[in-house]
Amino acid sequence: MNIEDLRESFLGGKVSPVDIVDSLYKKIDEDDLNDFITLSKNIAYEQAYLSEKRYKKGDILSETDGIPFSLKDNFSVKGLRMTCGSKILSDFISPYDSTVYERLKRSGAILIGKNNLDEFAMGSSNETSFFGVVKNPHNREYVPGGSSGGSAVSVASKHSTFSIGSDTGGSVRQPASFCGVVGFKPTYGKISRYGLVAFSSSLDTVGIMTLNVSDCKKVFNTVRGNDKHDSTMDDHINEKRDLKKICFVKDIPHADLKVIKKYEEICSKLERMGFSLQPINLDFIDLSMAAYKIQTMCEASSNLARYDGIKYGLQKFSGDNLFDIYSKVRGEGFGKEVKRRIMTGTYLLMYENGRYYDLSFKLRDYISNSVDSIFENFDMMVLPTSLFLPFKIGERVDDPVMMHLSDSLTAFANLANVPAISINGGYYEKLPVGVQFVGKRNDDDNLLDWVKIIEEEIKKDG
Amino acid sequence: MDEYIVTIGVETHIQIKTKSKIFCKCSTEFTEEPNRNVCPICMGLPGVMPTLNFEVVPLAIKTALALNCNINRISGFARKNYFYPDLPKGYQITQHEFPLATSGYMQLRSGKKIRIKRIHLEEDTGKMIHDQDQNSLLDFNRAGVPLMEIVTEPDFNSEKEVIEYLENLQRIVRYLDVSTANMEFGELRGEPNISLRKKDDQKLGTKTEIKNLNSFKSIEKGIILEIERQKELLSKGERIISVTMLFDERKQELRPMRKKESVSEYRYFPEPDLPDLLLSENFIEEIKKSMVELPSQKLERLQKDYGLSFEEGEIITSNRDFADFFEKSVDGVKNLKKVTKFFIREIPAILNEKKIGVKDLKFNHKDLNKLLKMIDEEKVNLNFAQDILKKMSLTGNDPDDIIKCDGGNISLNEKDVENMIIEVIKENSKEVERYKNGEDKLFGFLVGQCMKKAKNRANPKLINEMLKEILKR
Ligand SMILES: [Zn+2]
Repeated sequence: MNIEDLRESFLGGKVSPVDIVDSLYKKIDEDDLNDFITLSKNIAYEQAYLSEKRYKKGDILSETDGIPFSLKDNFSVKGLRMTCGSKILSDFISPYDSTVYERLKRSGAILIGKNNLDEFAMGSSNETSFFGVVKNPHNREYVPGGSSGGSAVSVASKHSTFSIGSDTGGSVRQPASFCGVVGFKPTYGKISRYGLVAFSSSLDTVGIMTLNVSDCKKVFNTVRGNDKHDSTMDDHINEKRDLKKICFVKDIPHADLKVIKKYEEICSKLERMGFSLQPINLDFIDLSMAAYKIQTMCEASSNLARYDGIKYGLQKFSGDNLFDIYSKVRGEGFGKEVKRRIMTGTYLLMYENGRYYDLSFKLRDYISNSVDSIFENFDMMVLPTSLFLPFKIGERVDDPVMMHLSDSLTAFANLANVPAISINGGYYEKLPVGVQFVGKRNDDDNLLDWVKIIEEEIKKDG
Repeated sequence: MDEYIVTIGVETHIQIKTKSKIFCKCSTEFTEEPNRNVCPICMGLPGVMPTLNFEVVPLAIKTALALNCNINRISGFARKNYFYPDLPKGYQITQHEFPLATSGYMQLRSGKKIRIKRIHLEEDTGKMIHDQDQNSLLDFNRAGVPLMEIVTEPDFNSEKEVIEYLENLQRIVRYLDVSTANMEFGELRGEPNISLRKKDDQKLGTKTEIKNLNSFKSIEKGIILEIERQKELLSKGERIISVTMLFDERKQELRPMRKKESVSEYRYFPEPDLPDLLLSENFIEEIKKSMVELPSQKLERLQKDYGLSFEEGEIITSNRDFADFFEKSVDGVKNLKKVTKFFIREIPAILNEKKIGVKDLKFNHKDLNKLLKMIDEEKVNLNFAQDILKKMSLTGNDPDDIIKCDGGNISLNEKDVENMIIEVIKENSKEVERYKNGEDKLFGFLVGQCMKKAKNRANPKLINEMLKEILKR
């Protein structure tokens, strides 16, 4: 059930938050999709009980009071395990609350558990998790996408009404597309990153996954806004205006024809809605992938340096010397993909290689300017979320080239720092196909309003 | 043997005195209890973010202004990446490409200017201690304490210049109330880098760095040892290798750091979690206006206004509180020459003995002023005044009270003095005879005898005059 319906049921007394929590845990267990790493039953029942009392008394805290949600397991909750999908943090209990969780808790929402994810959010199929792959509810043999795979699955399977994920290059939008839900990545700085474990700090955004755009707006309004713990925030927002001009992408190299077919259907639907669509070229996509890889790997190599086995996490104090301890802990604690990125990032920052990192910023400026110039003429861009449909588990684990393409239609929005949202555009052979809408920087509210209307139109046709 | 020119540059870390750490709210107060002042942020737990404690900025700017630096309107933070257990995040947040301040100088006594290359902000690391059982223990109380690093150009040619520079620097930050700058607590850490070259060589030689120097004495010793070591190698025709030397305080010797302990590649890149530090012209102007008189300015003024010698001025201005105390205490005192020595010898001796500052003295500048004026008026002589000062420092009593307790009024009355002199003349009749026969120098002896009898209670001038009178009779 979506937020609105659930609220109605609580208000009408048809069902209580405690009943809902009971049924969710039952369903999570029955479905067995591995979308959760940790279930927060103590917290959930306590919060549900308090929420139930509030509904009875009629002093409801907010729109999300009593609404069950989940967090990607790279968000910190005091007293709960936070693994980041990694062996190195498999026993780590966090002593503090992330700002996002704190705000949701204050709104009365109920934390069901922590979702599975690609290790340290590095991956696009949820196959790099130390806690195993997550299964796509539309077909258990298929990947759910990643890195917020567990989040997407938990929303799609109605294990939680919404989930908070993180999106560095598409990690919320791509799994949303694979699982047929909504995945929203706001403009950088709209939602506090405090308590989100950093992958690539200059690109990481907190994303929202819901069943529909209307829910997404509600959650966004609950968690957004400046935070004294995050000094990279900016709550500036563009004024409300009507959607007029949309652009679409004419040539999409490497794209699966099934994806293109669905995309063209959506585009004609938009035209039927009365919008005139103008074609544009995304000739910066290749450059955006280079910039994205360099920046994320460099920053990740530094962000993950703290997992050294000294203070917390996996510990091995048996080495001959300090170097031994480090290599044992990090060698055993990190998975293959994470190690590959740390090593590449370290190499890219060393000595004269540092120029690559500088260069990636120049590329980023170029991409940002290119995207800005598109939005000088258009209000919104429509394009596929992913080049391909969900693929089979294990099919591409060792195909870095295909994996590399996973982020190609999403990462530019992080680099250019603009809001983007993926919604379900329909199905192809029972597998969901997402469609992505990208807005101008700080057009977050406008984008959500516009896409809400489009979503209703798409749903109408079934 | 060849003659070498010694070239030294100095990097100095100074702890900035703030209530809380530079990127979190933890206290910076020193505590014996390990890992007491820590939180998820300064422990570098997963997911935390730094936020700048802006308190550090004006303090660092004051220092930069005192060192004649340009304050950069835009500066930024960077990550210095290396692994060490006392470094919670695996990187240190510092300023690299865009420091807070650049291009300043400090003038030494000789008139030579030492160029300041840059001043930047950064966070301190924790501490690793090894106990007697070979365990390594970590204390993160210091992790995240704000530091500023002051880097000079290689403008020093001797250890003496380095010490003068560091002593001045210490005085400046104390005057500005920017740091307590105690070397023994690591609040001021100087790290010299040294190279030697032959007189006619234009190019600088390979430099080495010395670390772990916890006192001015160690710095001096360390530099001397390193110069000797390099000279010896060069004279043998060997090359200098760029290394970091550690000074062993106990053995008073240098040893090279093991390769694994030193890192050469820090993989610097801009800190994405902190925005650039932007400063308005107005903000900098306000700080300029609030600057107190610097030690060098005070020294110059005190020499002029109070007729102090350079050396006297240096001692009096060594500490801002002391200089203020001096100025207040000598207010309205005429015979400055006579009383200056109190501030050079007596009072510093009291402070040293008790290891206290001038604010902790039991007497205040008003009482001292009273005493100094008594000297002016010759109500007490210097010896007596010294005794009174000592008693003031012990009891905190006002000088008048001390004199009363010591046996009545300041001076015996004239009749008493006359009787006393007559007694002395009787007791020393032989000397009186010789004086009268022309041995003038015996007058002093007789004055001394009178003074002894008066036990400081008589005005020396009066004794002098009356003795002359009576001897003439
Ligand atoms: Zn702290």
